[in-house]
Amino acid sequence: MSFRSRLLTGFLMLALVPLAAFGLGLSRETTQRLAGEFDRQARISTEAIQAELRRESAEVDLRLAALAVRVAADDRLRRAILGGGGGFDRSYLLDFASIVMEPAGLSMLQLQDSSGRILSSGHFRNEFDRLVPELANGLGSLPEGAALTTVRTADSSFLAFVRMKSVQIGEQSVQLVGGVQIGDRFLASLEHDDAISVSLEWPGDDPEVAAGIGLGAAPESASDSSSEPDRVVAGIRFPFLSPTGVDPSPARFVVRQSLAELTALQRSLRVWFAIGFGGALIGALILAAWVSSRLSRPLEALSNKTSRLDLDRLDIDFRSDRSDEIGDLSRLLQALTGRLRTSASRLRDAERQVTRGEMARQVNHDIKNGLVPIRNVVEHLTEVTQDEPDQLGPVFAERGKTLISGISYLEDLASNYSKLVPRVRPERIDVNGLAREIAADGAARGCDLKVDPDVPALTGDPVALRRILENLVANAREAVSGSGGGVRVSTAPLSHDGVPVIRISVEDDGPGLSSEEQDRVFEDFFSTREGGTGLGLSIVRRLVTDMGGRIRVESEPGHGARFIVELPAEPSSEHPADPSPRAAV
Amino acid sequence: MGFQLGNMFVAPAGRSLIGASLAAALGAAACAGLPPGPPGWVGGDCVIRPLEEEPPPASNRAPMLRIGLPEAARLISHHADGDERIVWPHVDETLVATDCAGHPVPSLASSWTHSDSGHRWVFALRPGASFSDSTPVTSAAIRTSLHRRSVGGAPVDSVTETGDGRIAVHLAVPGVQSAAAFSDRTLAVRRVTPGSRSSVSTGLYRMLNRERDRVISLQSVRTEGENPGPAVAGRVGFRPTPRLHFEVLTASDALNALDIGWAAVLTRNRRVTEYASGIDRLSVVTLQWDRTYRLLVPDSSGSSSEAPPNHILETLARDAVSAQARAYPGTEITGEPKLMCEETSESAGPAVSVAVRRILYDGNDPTAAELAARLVALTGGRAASVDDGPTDYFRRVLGLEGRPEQAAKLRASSISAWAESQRRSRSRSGGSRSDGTTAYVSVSQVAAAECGRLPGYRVYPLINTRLSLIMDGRLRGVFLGAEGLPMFTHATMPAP
Repeated sequence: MSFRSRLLTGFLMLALVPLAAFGLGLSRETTQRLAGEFDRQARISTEAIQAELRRESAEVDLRLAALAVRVAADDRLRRAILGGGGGFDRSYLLDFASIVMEPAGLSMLQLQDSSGRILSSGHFRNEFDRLVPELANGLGSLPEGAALTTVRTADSSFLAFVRMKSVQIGEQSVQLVGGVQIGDRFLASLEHDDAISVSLEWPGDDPEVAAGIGLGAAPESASDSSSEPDRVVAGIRFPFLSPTGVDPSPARFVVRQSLAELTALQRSLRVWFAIGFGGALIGALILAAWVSSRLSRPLEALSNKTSRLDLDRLDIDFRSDRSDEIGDLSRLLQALTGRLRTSASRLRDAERQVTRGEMARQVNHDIKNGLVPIRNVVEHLTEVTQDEPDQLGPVFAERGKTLISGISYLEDLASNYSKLVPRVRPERIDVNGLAREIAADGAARGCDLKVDPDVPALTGDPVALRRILENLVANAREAVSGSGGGVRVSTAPLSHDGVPVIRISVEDDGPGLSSEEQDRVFEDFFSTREGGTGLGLSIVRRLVTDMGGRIRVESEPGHGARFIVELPAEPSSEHPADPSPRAAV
Repeated sequence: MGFQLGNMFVAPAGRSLIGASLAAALGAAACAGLPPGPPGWVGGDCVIRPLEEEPPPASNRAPMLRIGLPEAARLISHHADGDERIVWPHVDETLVATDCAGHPVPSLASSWTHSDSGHRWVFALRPGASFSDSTPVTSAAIRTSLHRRSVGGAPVDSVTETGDGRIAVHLAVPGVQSAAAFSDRTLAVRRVTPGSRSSVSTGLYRMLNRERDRVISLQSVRTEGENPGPAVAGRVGFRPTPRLHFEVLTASDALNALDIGWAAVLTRNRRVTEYASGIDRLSVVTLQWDRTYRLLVPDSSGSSSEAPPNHILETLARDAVSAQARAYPGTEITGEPKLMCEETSESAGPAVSVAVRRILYDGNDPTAAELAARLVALTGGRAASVDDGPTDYFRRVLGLEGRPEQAAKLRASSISAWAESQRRSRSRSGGSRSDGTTAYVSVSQVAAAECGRLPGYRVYPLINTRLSLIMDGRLRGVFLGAEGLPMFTHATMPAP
């Protein structure tokens, strides 16, 4: 796992674990509070329904009491009930309940005599004379005085909430049994909250009654309408009167609470938690990536620089202004490369020594080979002089050619060695003057030259410096050839850690170099030009390195390139003026 | 004080078409209190309100007489047998009409003769007899009108022209001895207007407009003297023939109509008649018993047919219904309209002990609804209305729902035959009616049509009801026509 990945993972763990714990805790606490609130709501609703049923009972009782007063005060009705009014009053009696029922706000009304015979019925006018004592007897036996019952009409049935009042008419005790219909509307009036639904269960559910008044199917329809199950929060028992009297199994107002809202709230909470967690995760990821990138970038840059380091490229600049560990590491690497450069220089010196030895042996061998025929001619002439002096002239003439041939061989040998190993002569170089000469030269003509008069003199091989500048200028001119761009040469004095340094810049307006090309531009045989040998800049880098300097390139694709050579103004101890031949580099 | 004739209506003495029982039922005492009809009125004993000798009205503009009809009436068919049958005699004519006592009187035919066997009847048409679009009445039109009809139970075999301008009607079977048999409304002479579904009649009125099945307006098509109208009316001298506005009214609407001065209201509701009896300017004439309500119980119900207590019948008539009613007396109403046949063999007494699952009734008939409710209270089950109107109700009773071809057959042939075929069909298949425990409260037509022979059913008569005619004191010129129903063709009522 990379350093950056570890940084990223660590940061994420650090940020997300507390966040997740906080979110889960918050969600759990909120869910519990919501459930508690719903429980409280259910209790309040149940109590409200019970109060509403008591109020309805009292209301029906009040209406029946008012009707009882009217019945007692109606003389015509009195005559009809007592049987003295004739047919006309009987008709009045039969219609009486129908006439007063609806104005009294009742859905059912029966006037019954003491035997339970119906004298007048408001909801079913033609059921007069039916004997139904069970209803009045049942109501009379109930402590609450109220009950639910199935009320029959000619063409339907319905459930009603009924009470009873007695009125004394002469010797007759007339029972007023009245009530209100229990239907969807009544049940809806009990539902004080959208989440609460009330249904009714009663003994011997008559499907026709249930279908007629829209009851019975309520739980199924409720469950059908929502995928969330309702829960039964209360069953309020209420007396039920069947045709045979008080039913032992009472009716039940079933209070249900829809969990849809609670579930929706919880679902919403989870969704928002997921959104928040997801957002935090993405934010943390971005932040962690940024932080880890910021932390690891200098190390990565250091790593890249180090990866380019080798004995041929010891001019990598590790200098850093950072004051932290990375700065220390950079400075260590800078010092290390410095030492490497020294070691490399010494190694090259050793190599030169070895090379000189080899060359000396070769020279020795070659000279000896050249001296052997000369020695032989001289010894022959000596013998002739001693033995046949008179033959000296012809012999000399004969062997003199061999002698001259041997001497020519030695001259050629000396000339060749002289060409092979030119002598380097360290001397003080006027860098600005050299730059002017090169700018005035035919090959470099047209360059913009900007020299700093404070640039000090440089001690070194003027031929090497000339080759460096000529190569760089030629390279720049080739880069701008055909595009009309310019080439600028400048010199400037600098100071690195108190050491005077001369900076020479060669800048062009050519196509520039990519970062990959910048990395490889000083390698042997690397060229961006068709037909290029790829040795020019490589030789330049070696010459600069031999002079104890550094060379680097700054460029952006499409915006030209700038080659910067920095050479120590005076030769350091690490790079003494090298008297060795340049060819040994 | 109202002008009430008790349970009788004015009837002529002498001949009786339907039977001596009717003449006996129509007491002469009732006639004694009536003023005589104006000169020229035929059958003056049928006159309820004679025309008075009064100066001609200042304007020749025909007055509008507004007449209320009972709420069970449905103005949808010329052949319907509900209370709407009051309207159609103003529009339609048969070859022969009957007066209030059932005596045949000239109508479209001015005279007639018949063979001894009753096979062949020859009618001389009224001179100038024409339809309301002024086209003359032809033998072809009469042939078309009588096609596939029955006269007194005898199918019409053919209608021919005798050559002297008279029309000969040949019946498939003998036995019809009275021309009154030709007064059945199903034998009204009508002619379908080419290119339209409407038809024209030969009566004194034509339909001006109709609003659904609740309102209908009639306008006279001839000037006075051109057509004498029903023979009982005779000639009364020129005066504008009134336009007639018939409207079906609920009981409460009827009270309002009386209060705002409508000419007449026909009602079955006894509270309306009681109310009118207390108003001096209104007269109440109680018409004949004209309707029997029956309970049809399917044989498959398995119920017993115990003898019902008489007090139940009394209770039904007195307490259960708002119509003026009486317990079924055990004899058929003589003047009750018959659809297909005239014989009856119903068993007496209501089946109050039968246990039925439901009782169907015509939702347009309040009396049927009240009876069904009372029967439900006594026997259990449920009452259920059939609100499709009398025609569909009629079909439903006989299981003709959704069977248009059978319904057409019903119109064309005997219900008995069809019902019998249904019974045989069910017997062969071994099946039973799915609504085997469904009973029906029916008005007279169904049971009467089946003459008590409705296969698969026992028929129990329950109560009789009748109409009351309540008239404004200014209304004059009202008489009773066929079936004892009021006719307003010569009525007039001066503006207040």
